[in-house]
Amino acid sequence: MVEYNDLIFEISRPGRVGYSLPKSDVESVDLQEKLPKHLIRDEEEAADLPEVSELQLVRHYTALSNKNHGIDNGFYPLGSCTMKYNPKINEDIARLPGFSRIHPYQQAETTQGAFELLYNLQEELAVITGMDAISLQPSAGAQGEWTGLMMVRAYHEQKGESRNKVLVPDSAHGTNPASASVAGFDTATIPSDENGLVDLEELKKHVDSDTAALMLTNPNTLGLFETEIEEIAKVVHDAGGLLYYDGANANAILGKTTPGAMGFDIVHLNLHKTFTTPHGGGGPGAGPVGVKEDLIPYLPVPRIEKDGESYVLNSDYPLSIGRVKGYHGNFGILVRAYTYIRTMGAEGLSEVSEGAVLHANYLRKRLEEHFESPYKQLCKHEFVLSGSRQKKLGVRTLDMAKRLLDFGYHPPTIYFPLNVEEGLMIEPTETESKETMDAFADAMIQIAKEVEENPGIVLEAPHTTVVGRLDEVQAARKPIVRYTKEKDAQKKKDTVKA
Amino acid sequence: MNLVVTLTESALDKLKTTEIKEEQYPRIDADIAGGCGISVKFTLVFDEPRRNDSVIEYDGIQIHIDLFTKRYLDEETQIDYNDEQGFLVGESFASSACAIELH
Repeated sequence: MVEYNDLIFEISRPGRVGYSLPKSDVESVDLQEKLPKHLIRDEEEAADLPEVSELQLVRHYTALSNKNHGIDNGFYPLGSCTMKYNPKINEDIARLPGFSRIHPYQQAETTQGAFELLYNLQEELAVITGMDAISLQPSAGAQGEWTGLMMVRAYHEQKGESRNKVLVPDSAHGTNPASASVAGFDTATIPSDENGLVDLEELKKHVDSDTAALMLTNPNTLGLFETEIEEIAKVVHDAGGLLYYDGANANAILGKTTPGAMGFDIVHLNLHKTFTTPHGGGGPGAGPVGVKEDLIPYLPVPRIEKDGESYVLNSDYPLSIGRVKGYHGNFGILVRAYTYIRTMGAEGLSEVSEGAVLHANYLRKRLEEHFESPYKQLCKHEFVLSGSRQKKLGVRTLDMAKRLLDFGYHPPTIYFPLNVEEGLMIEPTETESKETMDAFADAMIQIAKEVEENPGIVLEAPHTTVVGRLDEVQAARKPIVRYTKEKDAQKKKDTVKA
Repeated sequence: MNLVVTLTESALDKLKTTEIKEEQYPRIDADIAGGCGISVKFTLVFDEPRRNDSVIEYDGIQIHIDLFTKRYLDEETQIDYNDEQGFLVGESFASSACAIELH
């Protein structure tokens, strides 16, 4: 099966095809003769497509998929990403022909069922977030952030105010300051206090008449709930700023509290995290945005509304920031999230956050004596450890992450948040069993012991994966991102020589 | 890999006049920031020896580098110093792979 470790271009052979067509019943023509010369590509210009049989193609991609690590084949405790199980019923429903075989350009009368689902999802997400209206358009969290910030801008401009500063705590998601910059704002970082929470005094120093909004992730990326949330909201609102809630960590608060109850004006959710739609590999995701009443006029259009017994698209919102995504968002993902919400119900969603918090605290307690634990209080859905103790012994967090691969685990998020030295951000999620968490904890504890007793095994890890430690320096400094025939030929020559 | 570390005159002057605590040595350290891809920034710090350190001597000064940092350094690394930015070490880099955190 060695050949299936090769690139598809390397197993290609001239003339091999992966299809069969019936014999043509019309006479063949020579295109070289019939077409003008300038339309005929010579060999050098021709698209260099691989030529393989159907079976080779199937084996090649199946082999590739087997090398991938996903939630269906292993524990994936990637902090902040909520890599929980994606129930298969979501897939069943999303594949129903009434959802999968419709087109967004169909007449609205013929897609009422799909519109009803989108409308209901909007209503349910509004309840879950404590907001007054939802747009399902944004295609993922960062686009949700940008959409929210564009509404912040439109809101202040409509009031005749020019506010250019967005405040972001250092424990926020990295996308927050990036989204603020893309939306044209200046950002100011609010440092955390010794407990890992927003330093209220620092916040007060930064808030002024130029403050457009505060973007807060709650619980933050340390997995800690902002206990002074009401005071934080008051400080920003009193200065005329808006409060933006990054709901990427909503898995910890479902059915317990809402951003609306905390005083927030805008929120985005990551359906691909909290609401079990698949993610990884770049998407697609979904990042619906919710707003309080004052901001409804600025929501993206068209909006899906109910008119009597029918569902309609309404673009009659002159202050809207416009459309932010083609059609109605990533519809297939929205169907999966709606299925999850309906199958779980309100009580089920509340149990989700209880499970997520219980699991994170269980794992934290099992690991805290083996690694530095900078924040000792109860956490929410995730927690952060530091590899600073191991660093003193010459082993880094990245080495330990690589060693985890040998045990079949995807490593946690590492070196984030930035305010923790050699950070390991672990989020087990509610969908894992105690046995899985115990086995992961045992692996982490073994690695901590190896660092002390046999560091070489950690420093040279991974040992059991298809490829060993990659040369990340070379990859970053001299990346080769495109296959060319010449390089393939050179590689074959080198192989022969070796 | 044979690692060559050179110090500019200003870096050497600064190192020779810096008071370093007992049991501490100058160290080239890889400072990593993650979240979405990783970036590696090289810094000069003063701390205790680590178990798998390589020690490079330059004009009487012992510079420590741990195995992890050594992997990321270029073969030739220069240390410079100026009053505004402090010590500047080698060429930092960022990985463009957004594989660690999906947001």
